[in-house]
Amino acid sequence: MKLLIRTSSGPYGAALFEGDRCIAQRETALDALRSRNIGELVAQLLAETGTDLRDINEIGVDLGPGGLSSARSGVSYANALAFGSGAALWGVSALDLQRACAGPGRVLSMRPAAGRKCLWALYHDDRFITAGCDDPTTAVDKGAARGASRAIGPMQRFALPDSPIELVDLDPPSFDAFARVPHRVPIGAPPILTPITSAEALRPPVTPTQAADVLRGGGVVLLPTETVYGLAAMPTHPGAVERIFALKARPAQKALPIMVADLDQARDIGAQITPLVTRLNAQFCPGPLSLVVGIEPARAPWLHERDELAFRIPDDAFLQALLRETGPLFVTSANRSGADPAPDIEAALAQLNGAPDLAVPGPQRGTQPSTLINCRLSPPVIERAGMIPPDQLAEFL
Amino acid sequence: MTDLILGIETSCDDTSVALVSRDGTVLACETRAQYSVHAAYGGVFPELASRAHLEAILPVVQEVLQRIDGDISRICAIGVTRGPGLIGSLLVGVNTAQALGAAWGKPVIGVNHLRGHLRSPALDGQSELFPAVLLLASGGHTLVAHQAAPGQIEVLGSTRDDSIGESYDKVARMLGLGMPGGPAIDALAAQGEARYRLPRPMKNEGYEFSFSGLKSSVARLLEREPEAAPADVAASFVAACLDVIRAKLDRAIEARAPRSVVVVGGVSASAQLRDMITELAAHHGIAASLPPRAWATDNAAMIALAAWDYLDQGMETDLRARPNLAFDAW
Repeated sequence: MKLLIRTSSGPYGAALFEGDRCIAQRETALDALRSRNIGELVAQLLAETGTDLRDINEIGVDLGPGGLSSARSGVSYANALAFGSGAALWGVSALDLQRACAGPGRVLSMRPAAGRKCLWALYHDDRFITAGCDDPTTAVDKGAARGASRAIGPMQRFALPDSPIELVDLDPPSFDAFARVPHRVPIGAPPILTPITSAEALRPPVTPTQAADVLRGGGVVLLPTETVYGLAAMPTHPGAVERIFALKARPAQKALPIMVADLDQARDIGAQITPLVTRLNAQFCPGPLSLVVGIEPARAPWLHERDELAFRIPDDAFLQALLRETGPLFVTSANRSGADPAPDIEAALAQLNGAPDLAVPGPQRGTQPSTLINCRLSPPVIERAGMIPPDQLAEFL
Repeated sequence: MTDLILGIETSCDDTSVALVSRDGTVLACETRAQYSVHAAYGGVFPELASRAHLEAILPVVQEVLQRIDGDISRICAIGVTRGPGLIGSLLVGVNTAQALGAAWGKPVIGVNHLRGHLRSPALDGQSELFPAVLLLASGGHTLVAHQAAPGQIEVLGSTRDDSIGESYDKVARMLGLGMPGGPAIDALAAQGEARYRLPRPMKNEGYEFSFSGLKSSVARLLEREPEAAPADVAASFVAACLDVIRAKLDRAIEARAPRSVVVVGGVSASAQLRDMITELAAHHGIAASLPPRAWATDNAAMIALAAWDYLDQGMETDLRARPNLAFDAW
């Protein structure tokens, strides 16, 4: 059986599930808010249903954000109950729980935070896109700008006079949503969970495989490269490529730069690997160097009608793993046409026209792009100055 | 054999777990101090404290359980500090204890942190003589009490503003010393001379204390004489504190004629204070009872020992965390 514990919003609640079926659930009475005690509530639930704690093999806990002391109580209790009983333990954010109550589509989930702000997360269906901490009005505006059709959360507490999107009042999220919210159950000794109190903690780590799945499904992924943040799409998905142009608010054109894991991947699509290219590759790749080369012959259908391409081999472990899963990707800087490149996810989302399908969190980056060399010209020409200084390149050109 | 209470203490900035038998024998006590977490703030930062407790508590429980090879059948109950202290920190301890109690099928006892301090002189085979005049001096409390018998406490007076431990920390910061302030001040004071005149607030009246004015006087002294040797400033400050404490204890001992003077709380680890108390007891011809230094600061062993009192008296347990739990509450 599965025990679910929810303390970060409204009355404390606990529920017992057998698979997806709710056996029983209890909430503290609203007039007893000051003496809430999750331990007593769980004890009542078990006693009233005649359940032995040994029958609980899985414990799920709400990690907030929300009332800080409340979330801390629930999480401490769940950690120790799993430690003492040997049950598996997992946690989910309260924003995920609210999202699960909202139905499909692009949804903004909002929870109150310190200083009259709110912590928010943006989802597409059950996929997390990004999160932030703002005053409620700004949060709703950001959500609307990124394509959210509605916002969900304890809306009465935000006192939003009017909103560009539909507001769905919800507090607390239901246990049915809790039971079906996507989560991973860690294997082995139970983890020590901590409450969520910042936007950083909301951004789940994304694996290269997860990003590859989104790309193969025709999605656009915002991700850090070793130069600036970029938007990636599978060249075999024309719809995704069009969305990149829409996000950048730029007229569609075919010649997007290509990222490959190594020279072999470039060769495989028909890139002409001249001795100059081999020389530059040996010296600077993987690294912030883009090379314009001819195509002879085009070995990928999406390269037909083109006689040249620009490719780059990134020096980034995540991108390398991703490219090994997906093959070559279109990757272009994640900024609105004419604007400066984005050094982080927030800067990118703030200027893009809408939101990508997945954002991969990463460190702060600069705004300097890769150096671009046209290897088709003789002698080769540096067509864009970038991270590699020209004097380092001179002897190889 | 069921012979141990598992104690849990998270009221302030130390995460501590212990196993203690009824006679005060400490089988295990593990404490994680959070000094490094708070050093940047020059004080205890409540949000960080409760987060650090949450991360540390179960690993510390695990370490302590290893001392009994994980044989939880030896544990007859769990005692946990329910106050006074920082609410977020107390909640981590109380909820952890409740869940462990539920998982192991053991009763859980909410313990007054201050009763823990009171019992600390009996840890590790020490004995106490009653009636006693008692000084509690710590980061959170400064008070003088009369204790007719174990558990029978009458508070004579406490501080009107800062605790003595707080003033030590604040003066340590003024002198550019690190956290914790108490040992740093004491070590520095030992190398200096009490050459500066500082006030002795409320020395001549009753049992109440006030340390806030003394702290301000140190600040003004440092402004007036920036070249003053820090060791001399520290020595002068410690002399003023001890002078006031001694006056209060003299008064209480003369009025109550106890058989012993007992000092508990973190500041009782101070060498200067211990020397003064030893001399004071000799002067009055009574016994001095000081907890072993290891048990003077916040620790779970004293909480476990106090929990035995609750168990033996068949007290109904109260697990509500209370930041302002009174000195004489259970």
